[in-house]
Amino acid sequence: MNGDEFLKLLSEKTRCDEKDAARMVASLSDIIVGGLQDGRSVSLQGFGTFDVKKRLERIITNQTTGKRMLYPPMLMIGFRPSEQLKEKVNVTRE
Amino acid sequence: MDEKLTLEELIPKFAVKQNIVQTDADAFVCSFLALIVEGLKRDKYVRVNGLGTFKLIDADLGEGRVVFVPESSIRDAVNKPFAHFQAVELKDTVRFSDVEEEVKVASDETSSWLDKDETKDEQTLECQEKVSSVNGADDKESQGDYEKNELQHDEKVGDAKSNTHWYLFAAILLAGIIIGGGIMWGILSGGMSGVSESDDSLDGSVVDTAFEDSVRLVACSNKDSISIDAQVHDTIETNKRTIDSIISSTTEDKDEIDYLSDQVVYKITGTIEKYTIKKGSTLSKVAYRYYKNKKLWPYIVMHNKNVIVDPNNVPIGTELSIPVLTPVD
Repeated sequence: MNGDEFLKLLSEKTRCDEKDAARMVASLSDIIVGGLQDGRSVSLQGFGTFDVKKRLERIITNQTTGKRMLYPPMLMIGFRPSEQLKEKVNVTRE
Repeated sequence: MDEKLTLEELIPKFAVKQNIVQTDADAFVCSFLALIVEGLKRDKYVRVNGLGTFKLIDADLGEGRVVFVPESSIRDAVNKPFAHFQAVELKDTVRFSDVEEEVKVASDETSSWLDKDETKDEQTLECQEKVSSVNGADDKESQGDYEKNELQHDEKVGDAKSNTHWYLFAAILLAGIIIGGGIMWGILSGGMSGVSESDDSLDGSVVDTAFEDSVRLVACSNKDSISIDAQVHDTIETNKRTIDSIISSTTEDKDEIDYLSDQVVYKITGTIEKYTIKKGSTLSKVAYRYYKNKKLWPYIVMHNKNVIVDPNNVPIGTELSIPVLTPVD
């Protein structure tokens, strides 16, 4: 399901036009990202938790070129799906 | 501010931002999340513009694992505090004890990191271990913490390598000394061989050529050349005794040649005789033969300027006139 399809289905579901849906998704994303930028984890009950992890700096040797690169520390977004999400997703598979 | 941003806080915020009623906001968020779940079930893949992609990845135990890959804009926004850092290339000599090192085959660094961080895929780890063990033999890179065994192995290999290196170095040095010594000995004894050629080893089959010389010498010095020459040539094969007597006489003659010091300046006052360069003879040897001092060869060169083009390379067959040297006061 790509972005356009997602917005289309979302607009049908919420009975509003696609532009509104896109705007609302964008502002929802903004809030989530804003929370992450404040250093907080964003917990969406029944879905999962977004959080920020600091990845330490590390040296990676590229085997093909033999170059040793020092990669800086990085703040990364992590996502932990909730148990309910796991169950829901795996129901259809069994 | 709370450590966690939950839906209870998020929905009112969202409602205020969009200027809608809170129940509508609640409904929207719920259908938003539900649609993601639906998409995951259907396609195992949902892309939300402006947020990122949710994927359902097949794991080992038949359970799908939900993975979120943020959009690059979101990733950059979160990483803003560290945005000014850039990856730099390190020289081989630079080592940090506190920084984890690892080897990557793939150059697509960031995405593989995401994958690894999110999924902790055991296959990836195994793969990396293999890579590093293969790599361990020729590359002394230290690996991650979880590969301590590999690391120790690496070090052993490294030590062994440096040991063999030392052995090799010592062996080469020794060989060099031996060869150098051999060359020096060769040069020193080579200078002496001129003597032995004419004085000591005048026996067996080599006798012929050496003789003729000595005979000539005798002939010249005795001013009796024709008869003795003829005599020698006649008897050289048939009458060994005659030869022996000539040998003894020549050696005696040669012994009579005085040692000429190279500390004295000499004047060339004539020619003793002609000497033809043979294979293996050098100007030094010739000088030794006539003056018992091989350092006097420059006088021979001086006396044979018209014959000798290059003193370091006098061709075989060159006829030299040996000068008579008398000291200058």
